[in-house]
Amino acid sequence: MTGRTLLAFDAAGRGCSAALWRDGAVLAADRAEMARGQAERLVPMIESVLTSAGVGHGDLDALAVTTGPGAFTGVRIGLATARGYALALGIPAIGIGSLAAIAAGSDPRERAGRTLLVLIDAKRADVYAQAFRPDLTPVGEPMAVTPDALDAALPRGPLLLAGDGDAGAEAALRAAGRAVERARAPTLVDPATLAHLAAQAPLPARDDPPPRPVYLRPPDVTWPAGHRPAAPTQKDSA
Amino acid sequence: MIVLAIETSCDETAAAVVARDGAATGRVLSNVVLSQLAEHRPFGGVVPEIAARSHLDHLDSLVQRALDEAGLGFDALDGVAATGGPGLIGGVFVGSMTAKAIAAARGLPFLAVNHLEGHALTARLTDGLAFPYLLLLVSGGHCQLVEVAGIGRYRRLGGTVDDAVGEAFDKTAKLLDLGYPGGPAVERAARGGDPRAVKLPRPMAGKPGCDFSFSGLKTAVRQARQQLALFDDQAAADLAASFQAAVADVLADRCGHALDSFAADTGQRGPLVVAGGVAANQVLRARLRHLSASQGTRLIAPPLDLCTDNAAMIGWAALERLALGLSDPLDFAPKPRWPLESLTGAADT
Repeated sequence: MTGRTLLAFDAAGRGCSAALWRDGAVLAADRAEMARGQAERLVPMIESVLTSAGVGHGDLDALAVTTGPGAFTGVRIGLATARGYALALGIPAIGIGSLAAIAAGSDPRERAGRTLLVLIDAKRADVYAQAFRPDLTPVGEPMAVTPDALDAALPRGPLLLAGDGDAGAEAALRAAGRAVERARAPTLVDPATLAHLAAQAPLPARDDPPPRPVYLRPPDVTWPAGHRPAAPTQKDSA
Repeated sequence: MIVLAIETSCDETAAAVVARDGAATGRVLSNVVLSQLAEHRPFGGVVPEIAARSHLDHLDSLVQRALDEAGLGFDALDGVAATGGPGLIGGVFVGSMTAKAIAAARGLPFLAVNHLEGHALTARLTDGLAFPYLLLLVSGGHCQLVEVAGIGRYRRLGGTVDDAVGEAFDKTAKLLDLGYPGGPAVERAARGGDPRAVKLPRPMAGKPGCDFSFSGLKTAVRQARQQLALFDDQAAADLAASFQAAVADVLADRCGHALDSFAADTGQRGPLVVAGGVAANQVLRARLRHLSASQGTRLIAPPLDLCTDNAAMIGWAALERLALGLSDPLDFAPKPRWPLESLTGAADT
């Protein structure tokens, strides 16, 4: 839908970024790569993007924010900020999955005829992954998966890889006999793409629940005997 | 002036709206707390990642509830505050970012409040206390004696060299199979016990200075339990009561020394303020009240809901800072460690 004024931002990956989007055009955007420090940079970055775009807080129709997966803290920094702005301005916040946002930033010509596999660094032996058809329809749910289990979890055929994750995934897929190519697209979320995705999403109603984080992993705790949940949750999203 | 305040530094998600009038009198317009106790109980302690997730899930609706209960909208606010540390950093991030976003969206000052300063200034909210006073801050993570000379003006007289006193309560409760959290569990069990039943050490008592030590006491509780031929409810109650009496003796001894130092520094004897979650313990309160009376001063102990973690105290500390023209930039970095004595107030206060 055009005609919306959207503020989009991301803090779930290796940095933070923000863009102001109106009627299909980006009026202002900023981004910074950083391993940590998103809590310091994000709100001043958002405010300066608004100022550069000449847009007041009251002009915003909605917010868009990445919901992860990513670093747990970064995911929460983005979502807490979005939910704070949404509450204070009385506007909805639209959550967009980080894997889908990276997928949408890839080039359609590169995607043609193969499965797009987006990988996000999970800082562990496994990697966050989700596969998409060339038209960006998701093939499955986001998952945290070890590289050796990836091949079996994906549709047959050649792959286009996007995102900043690897953990040996590319090598494992080649070893499994896959044709694999790295996309030329940016490895991090582009806030303009995020805004574009949010503009196409239905506007949440006032009573809809706010966007929720996608952790893909339960908290790292040792459950005392008798207390472990029957089935550990694979996906912790709404 | 009216502020909205958020507290998310441990296992309580809390929001409050607090007002301060021209005569520096405070009024709590709302004070809502959502305890995560049930989520952490299986682990016998707070799990930081579980706490952080829960804060994010509940904070925005809790903020709305605090405003609704105060009968106010964002338009009525003069500032937005959150605990900026010290504490479990995942939770502090959630609270700080929410407060920054609200402040930025409404064009209001943002205040990153030191959680310990929140406890330290609560007596000014509840009792209108004037500076200076002596503060005993006792909680699950902290145990210190501090001279409070003004906003942002703190001098540490002593603190624990090992465990915080609340930690000692938690560990004792675990040793005695009393459950979690340990503070209320030990106090409850101790009601049916004899405080003279088991001889326990009084670490640091009688020594010069104002430092504390509780790890030896915890070890003594473990040994006492191991030596018992029969460990039943009565034995647990006796050990709990004996432990609590030992803590009371130690706190009284250390506070006695601190009152002397405070008198030498300021020329006045007390008053003594006790704050933090452990200040909810009635036996300890009674002991400190007795000590204060015997030293010719008085004990000020905030009501129980303002002793345990809450956002009203964060709101009050923010109002005290706002009144001095102080606020914080939106690029404030949340701090896992943030000693009271590193704070500053207005240049000339």
